[in-house]
Amino acid sequence: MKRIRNIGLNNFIVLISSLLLVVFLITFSFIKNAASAELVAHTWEVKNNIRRLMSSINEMESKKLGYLFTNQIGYRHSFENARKDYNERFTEISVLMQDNENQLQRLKLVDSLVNLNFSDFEVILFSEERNVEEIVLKGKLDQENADQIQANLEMMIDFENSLLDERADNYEIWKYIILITIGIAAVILFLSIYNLVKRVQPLMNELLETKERLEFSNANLKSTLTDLHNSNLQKEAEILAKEKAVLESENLNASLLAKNQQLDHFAYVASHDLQEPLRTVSNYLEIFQEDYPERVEGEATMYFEFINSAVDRMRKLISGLLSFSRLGTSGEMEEVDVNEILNDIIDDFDAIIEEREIVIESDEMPKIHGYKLELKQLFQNLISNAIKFTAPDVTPNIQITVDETVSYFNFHIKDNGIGIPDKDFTKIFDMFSRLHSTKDYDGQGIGLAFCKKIVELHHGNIWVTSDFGVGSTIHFTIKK
Amino acid sequence: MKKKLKNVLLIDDSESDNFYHERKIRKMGITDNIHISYSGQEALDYLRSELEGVHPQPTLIFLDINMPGMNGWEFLEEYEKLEVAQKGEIILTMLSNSIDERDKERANVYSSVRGFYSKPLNEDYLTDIIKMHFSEYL
Repeated sequence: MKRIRNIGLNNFIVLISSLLLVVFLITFSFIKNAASAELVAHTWEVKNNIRRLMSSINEMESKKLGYLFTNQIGYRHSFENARKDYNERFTEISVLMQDNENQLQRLKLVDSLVNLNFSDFEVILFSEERNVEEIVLKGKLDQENADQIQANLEMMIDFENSLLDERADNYEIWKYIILITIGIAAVILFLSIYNLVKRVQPLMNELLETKERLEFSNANLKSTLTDLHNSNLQKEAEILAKEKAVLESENLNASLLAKNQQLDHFAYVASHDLQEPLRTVSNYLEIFQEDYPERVEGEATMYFEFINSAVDRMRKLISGLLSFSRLGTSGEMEEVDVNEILNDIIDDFDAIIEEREIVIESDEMPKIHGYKLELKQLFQNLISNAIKFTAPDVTPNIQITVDETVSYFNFHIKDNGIGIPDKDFTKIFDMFSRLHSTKDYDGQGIGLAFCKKIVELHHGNIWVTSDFGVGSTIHFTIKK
Repeated sequence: MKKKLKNVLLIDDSESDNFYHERKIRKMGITDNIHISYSGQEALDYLRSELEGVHPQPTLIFLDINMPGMNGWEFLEEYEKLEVAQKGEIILTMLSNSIDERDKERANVYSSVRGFYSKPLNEDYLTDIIKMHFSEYL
């Protein structure tokens, strides 16, 4: 930008000053030219007047002679007219020649000679007596004067002619100067414009180049934009696909959750409704036994016992199923101190612990986030299992330990019980699954299924390791 | 037992349960008047009915939850709208197939409900109810 301004300013200054100079020169030349023309006209006027003066002198001369020789009054009038004319011319020329001393001197000389030549005549003219001889004599003298007048006037004309030549030359010269000045002005103008164009040319080229470059980069930008747009579209499509996938998995989760809830609800309703006919059976067994005691005897007593125990077992199974379906619905998750839970359980088992001299040892337990009732049930089921599945002649020894990783607490409950065969490691956590007959070990096969569901409620895992005949360890994790 | 309850109302759709419950109540000698309604609507009609200008006003009601048509909850909604003369000084207890904490909480909302028991009705429950609400009958 600075460069452009410099170029513009320099050029402008040169151009303007050149033009001013040229205009000044032209004006000056015109003035001079006009002055020369005026001078030429002036000279012509002077010259004409001199000629007219000459002719009026000649007129005077001829009329004078005419009057002298003829004495006709007409000549005398003509002479007087010519004299008057001469005086006018003289006055005019005197004014015109004010600027030229030499010519004025000559004019005065001429005038004096004219006066000399014609004053005598005028005297004669106005006297009645005239001496012809004297006139003739004087005529000779007058002739000399007349010649002198003629010569002077000729000189004056010559002088004016030379002035005329000089002034005409001047006029011509100024005319040429004007033409030349105009030429110079044209040249300066042309040069300035040329210079300007020449200087502006690179700038223009630069501008054009810049414009082209801009267009090019514009095109580049456009293509980049198109690319971006395309990749954006692609990204959007990917995002959409991802969102769809997320949505699908969310839907799947939701439907799984719904299915789980349906299953729980099913288990609840089923067990709830199963209670009713079962109750009727047991109610009317009771009434039958009350109303017809005489019929319940002998083998019938045994049949009734079987029926009663089956109904009882059925009720336990159903209520187990019902409780199972209700796990995790009893309350909100809260901070639970596992030490407290263990102490409560040991208090509950006080009688059997004393009876079988059971040893329960545990680490310092953490506080965990979970469902209090369910967690208590979990530990209670596991400890009660450990006691239950220890041979009657063995003193149960239960070790409860805990360790932790970044996001889990890992609990281990080790016993010296009868152990579990490897093949049953997963089976034991199934609902209603039992490894032993009711005769040996009583139960409904729901304890570990409960434990599994409770652990899963706390986003953990449960599994078992065991040496068959030596003891088992139940391991489970609870998410922090 | 010196005095017997004036009237006991059983609301249950199960004939076998009604029979069993009636038999238990009679055996306990609590009352001589047991009325059985097989649905909520039937029970409401009974409560609104008049005999010589007097509503039945049972002393004790046992209400089953699961019933076809108007169930126990729906009956409670309608029951709460009854006139005092129709409600009387009734002690209403609910009977359910099993004790569900959610059902128990729901029952607590109704001021008329004074007890919540699981079926079947047995001597322990009845003794409990008499001790709590009808000590003068002991």
